[in-house]
Amino acid sequence: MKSAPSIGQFEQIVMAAVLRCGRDAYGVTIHEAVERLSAPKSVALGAVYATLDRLEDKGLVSSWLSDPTPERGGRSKRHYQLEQDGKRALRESVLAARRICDAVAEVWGTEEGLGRWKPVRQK
Amino acid sequence: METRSPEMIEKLVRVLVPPASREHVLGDLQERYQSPRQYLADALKALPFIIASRLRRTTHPLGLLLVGAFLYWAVFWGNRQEHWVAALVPTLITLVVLAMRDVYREVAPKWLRVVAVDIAIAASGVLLSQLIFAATAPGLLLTRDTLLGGFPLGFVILFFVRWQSPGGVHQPPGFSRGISMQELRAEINQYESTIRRAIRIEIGACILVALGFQVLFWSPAPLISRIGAGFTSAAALFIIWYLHRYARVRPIPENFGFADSIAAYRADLKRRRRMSKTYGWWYVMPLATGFWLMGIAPQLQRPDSQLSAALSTLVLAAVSAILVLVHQGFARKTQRRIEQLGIVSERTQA
Repeated sequence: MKSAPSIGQFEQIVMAAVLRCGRDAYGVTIHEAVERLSAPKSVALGAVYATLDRLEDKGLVSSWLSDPTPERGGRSKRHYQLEQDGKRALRESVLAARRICDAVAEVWGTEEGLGRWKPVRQK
Repeated sequence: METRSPEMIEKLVRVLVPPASREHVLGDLQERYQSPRQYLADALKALPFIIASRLRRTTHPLGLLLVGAFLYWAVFWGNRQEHWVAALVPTLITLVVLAMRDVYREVAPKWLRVVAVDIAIAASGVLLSQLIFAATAPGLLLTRDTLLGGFPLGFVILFFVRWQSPGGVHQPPGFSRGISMQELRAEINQYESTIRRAIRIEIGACILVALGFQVLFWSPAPLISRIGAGFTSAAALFIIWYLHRYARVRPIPENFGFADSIAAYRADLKRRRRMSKTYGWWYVMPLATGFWLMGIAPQLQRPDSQLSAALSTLVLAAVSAILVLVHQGFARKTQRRIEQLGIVSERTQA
């Protein structure tokens, strides 16, 4: 089986935001979700567009234009959704992040180093 | 409270946002609208990212490097100018104009006119820079020979190169929502006409090369140069035969159904991918060998010019490698398209 394409940290956040927004994933909602996920850092709307373009070129997300709406001045929304490769890449990166968390928690402990994080795989 | 951005500001933003992103970006900005100041700030902060992303999608870095080298040495004769900056400035102006034209390109079926406008704007930019230098820094002016020789001739070649493979075309790979028969047919028609035009221009260029080098072959030049000229001429004839034999467009009949059209289109794309992958063997190698024999080998016979011959060999090898790499990139892109069409085909059958 083909291995999942590697993705960077910001790409992970954007993909998680797309996943979270579900059927309502378009520029504004994805940007809001990204801001929540990367708080307290603020994120430029343009950075989200550029990352979505890159993910689309990698075949991890796909997009389409919806019908125009009056509250947007008669303009369409570009909707996004995760593709199969995107879901696989996100899953693998989440598992890797979880393993990193577990490793750090084993050394630092959950209270001191990672706040309320509880390791998933306790020995 | 006002809920819509002022028309004038929206018009300005509309001009600045590349057409490919205009619809959804303007809609998103409108949805986030709170005040004219916030709207403008939002737009100006987003613009560099949008332009950079579009530039990444429409420009091939190695291709740009190759065109830059062609402009600097072959068009503006960088090694014959008083100062290297004299050739660098028009080179950069031309590259920026062409790259930005690609970024702001709308889907345009009339490539001939579009490419002519691209070249005309780039040429105007170069001439304008010469006017400015004439008034401010005469030492940076291009020589008269360059302006009357390399510049017009080089831009004619650049016109044909751009016409052969127009820039600014980006096909996003996602096909999850499926593709209609109409969209598929439009893509096939576009593909066939682009390939047909590219092959015609390539064959035309090869005929000129074959004839031109035949003249050199019969001229009273050193034997090794004449052998090189003959080799280059033969290489050009070989490429003509190869293109005619293997690259010719085999039109996909209009009356084919969806599944048959996809199957035929994928088969043709596979043929195209094979040609891109083997580009080094059937195109670069024969021509580069001819050029090397003709231009560089005679220098090796003279002890005082062996270093320059070695350097020229390296440059020729680097240009050949870049050409091969660019075509390997095309092959990868074509492979992705083949896979996506395979998924579309499977989904349709399911």
